[in-house]
Amino acid sequence: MGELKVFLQTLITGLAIGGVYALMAVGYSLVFSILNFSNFAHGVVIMLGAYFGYYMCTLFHLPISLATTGAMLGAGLLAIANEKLAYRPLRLRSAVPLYFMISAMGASMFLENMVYVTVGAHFFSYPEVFKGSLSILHAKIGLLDVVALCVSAVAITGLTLFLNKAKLGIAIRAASRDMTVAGALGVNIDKLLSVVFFIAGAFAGIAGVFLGVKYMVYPTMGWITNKAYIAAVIGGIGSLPGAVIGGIILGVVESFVATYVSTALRDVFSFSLLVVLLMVMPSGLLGKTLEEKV
Amino acid sequence: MRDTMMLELRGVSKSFGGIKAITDLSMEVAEGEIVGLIGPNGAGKTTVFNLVTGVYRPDSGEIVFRGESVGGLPPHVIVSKGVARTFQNIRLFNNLSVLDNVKIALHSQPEYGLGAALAGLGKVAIENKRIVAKAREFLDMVGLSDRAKLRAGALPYGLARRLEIARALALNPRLLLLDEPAAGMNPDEIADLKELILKIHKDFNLTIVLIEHRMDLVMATCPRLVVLNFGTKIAEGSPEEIQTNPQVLQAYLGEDY
Amino acid sequence: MGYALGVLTLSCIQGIAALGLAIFTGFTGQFSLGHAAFMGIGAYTAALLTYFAGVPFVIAVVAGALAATVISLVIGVPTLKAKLRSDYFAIAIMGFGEAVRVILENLQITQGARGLPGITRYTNLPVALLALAIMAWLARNFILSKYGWRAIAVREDPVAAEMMGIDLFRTKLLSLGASAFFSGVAGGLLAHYLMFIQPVMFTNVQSTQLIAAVVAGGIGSLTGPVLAAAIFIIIPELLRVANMWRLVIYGLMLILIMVFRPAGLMGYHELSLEWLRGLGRRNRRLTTNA
Repeated sequence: MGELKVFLQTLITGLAIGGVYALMAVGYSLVFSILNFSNFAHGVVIMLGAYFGYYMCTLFHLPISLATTGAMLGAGLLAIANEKLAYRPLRLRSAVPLYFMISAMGASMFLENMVYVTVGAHFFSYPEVFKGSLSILHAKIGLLDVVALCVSAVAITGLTLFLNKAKLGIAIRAASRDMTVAGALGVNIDKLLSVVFFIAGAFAGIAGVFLGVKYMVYPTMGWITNKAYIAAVIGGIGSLPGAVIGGIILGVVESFVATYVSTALRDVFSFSLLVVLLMVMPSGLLGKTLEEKV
Repeated sequence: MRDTMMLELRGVSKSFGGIKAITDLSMEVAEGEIVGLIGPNGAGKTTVFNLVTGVYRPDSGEIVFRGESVGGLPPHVIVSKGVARTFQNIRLFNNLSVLDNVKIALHSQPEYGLGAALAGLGKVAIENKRIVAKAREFLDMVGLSDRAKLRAGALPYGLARRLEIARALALNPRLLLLDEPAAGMNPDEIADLKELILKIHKDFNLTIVLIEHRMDLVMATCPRLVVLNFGTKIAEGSPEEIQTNPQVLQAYLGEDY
Repeated sequence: MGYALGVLTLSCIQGIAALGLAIFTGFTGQFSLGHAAFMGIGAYTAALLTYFAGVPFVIAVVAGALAATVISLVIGVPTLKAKLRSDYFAIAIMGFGEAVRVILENLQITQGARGLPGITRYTNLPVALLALAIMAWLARNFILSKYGWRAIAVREDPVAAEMMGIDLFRTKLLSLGASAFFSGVAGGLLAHYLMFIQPVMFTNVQSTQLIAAVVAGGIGSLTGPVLAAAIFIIIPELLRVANMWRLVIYGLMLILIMVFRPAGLMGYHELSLEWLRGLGRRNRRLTTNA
């Protein structure tokens, strides 16, 4: 009986954190699918989203729903600014992916350490929200986990609908196939990328708030934000369903390793999972073997 | 008695995300031939090159190079078997010098191992010198020796295309695939290019497949043409036969020619 | 005086690590956020060998470098395979760096997060200078050989490189192994200079310092990154800048270099007499189009 209870709790916790990973990975993968480079500044946008949300809660005493909206907006705008300042000039002279990655790394270093020198390395905790718990089959399930799972599911469903039904969404999907074609079809690439980065940033904002509520807010947010990249690679970079599946698998595996094996070795396991998976499936679970047009 | 076959495609198909680029294509290129591969834009000509060189893996069918099935092998393996190509949208190593572009094509020729290279043994320098001399010969051949030190990206269009040919020749191929070598060239340059193609065909004992829109060049170099439209072969024969083939005229000129 | 010698020694060590990353990033065009982990493997292997087994210093350093190389190949084989997708490697190695830290912090023999004190000091300025000279010589020979040509071709255009008969996977793997070896040497020297090592020394702060040195020093240059690595050690020491401001500036610098002068300080050039002479005449004939 106790066995089942622990198992169920572990599973739900894993799904909830997996949902948050999926939110982070989707934004990262969306950018990748269009610009074809690894946006290593995505993690720092998640971290700043957590800070935005925290200040909305504590300085302006906003309820968590409004604070999350504020964090989405703030992180979304930050992501747009990041694109305009650090990637657009490279895009205009069609630089190689390596240069984009370096610029992204620079943006990440810059913002992360700006937080250190301005706000400092303090740990902040959100006001207590979603404190209660539900009882399912005698297992105590944290309300926060349930909310996180629901919000992630709603956000990702919304994005899927947008990409499949809305005119702009379809243009974004076209651009992910071939940016020059999308440009030739009269899609304004600058505007389109602003929308893409805003979506990625907004998702990062939601993820940041959840991580902040769960683990507190601090400059590096630990190792957590890098999970976005790992999840995306597991699912296959550039694939949105892959990012969701990768996020959830990563969350669940970590949760089980932490419960049944060792908390300290959790990250070693997620890395091993990544390497073993790539040995078997070199492009991740749903990654297409990309054939570059030559 | 059939000629020795250099390249054979047997029922090759390739599609991208549900769109068929090449459908059940069969064609043969005999040793020593110059074959023109023509067809309207989007007919799948470059895709054929990409399939033959291993950039794409065929969905079905067989690609046979000198009696050996090569479909789906990685590009570097196919290249090492004796296939070289140029690109429709020139792909030189733009930041490197003209000479270095050819030097890289000769990368498999120096005879030294990693240990000797790291130790900086004398033979490394000697071998490298030999390669540079060889690279210069190729530049000579296409008339680029006076620009050896220039950055490849700074070459004008016509010369860049010539450098691509020199680079491909340096790979010591048996089969050379030229993808629109005349694109962007003026009539004088095209006349020179014609001479060059005929010269390398003879000097290097090459088999050549030429994708080209400039019919003057095609007619002057290719005794045999293969015409593609919508990924299938619609005609094959001598230039004279092709010019009067109703299906070809229809493909090029539309329904009511 | 001793202090100045110390800063120079550290500059040489960092220069060796920068040479390694220059081979992988500057010449082969691959991105890595985890090379500090290879330094860590080199440092711990060498230190444990001299500390517990009394292995001679030079042999221990080489053994550490070989250990780093072997492990780099173990992660390189699955992650560099995905054709044209070097991002898989960049992310996997980031995860690898974290995994190495966690393992070092949890092993008995490495004494966990507290670190390993009491390593004998064998590295001094002459040793570090000599090591830098040897490693620079090796790096130069590598780059000037056919192996270097292949790496450069892969950096410039992977598709065209493949059409030159170059095996992308093997070329990247060789560069990775070579660069891990360099990082391992740097780690071994560092351990026997500081006499104390700790897992936290080999995390992404160190990896990003190396990237900053390679990018600022110049893509496609060996002397540039060594110079930049030294500058990045010396200037903060002189100005006594707080560590975090230093990283803020590095971050900003990386963006600015990519936006305005992607070739970096010495991109596609080497520091040589010929270059210095040409400097006066060279007016804005930049090779910066990426």
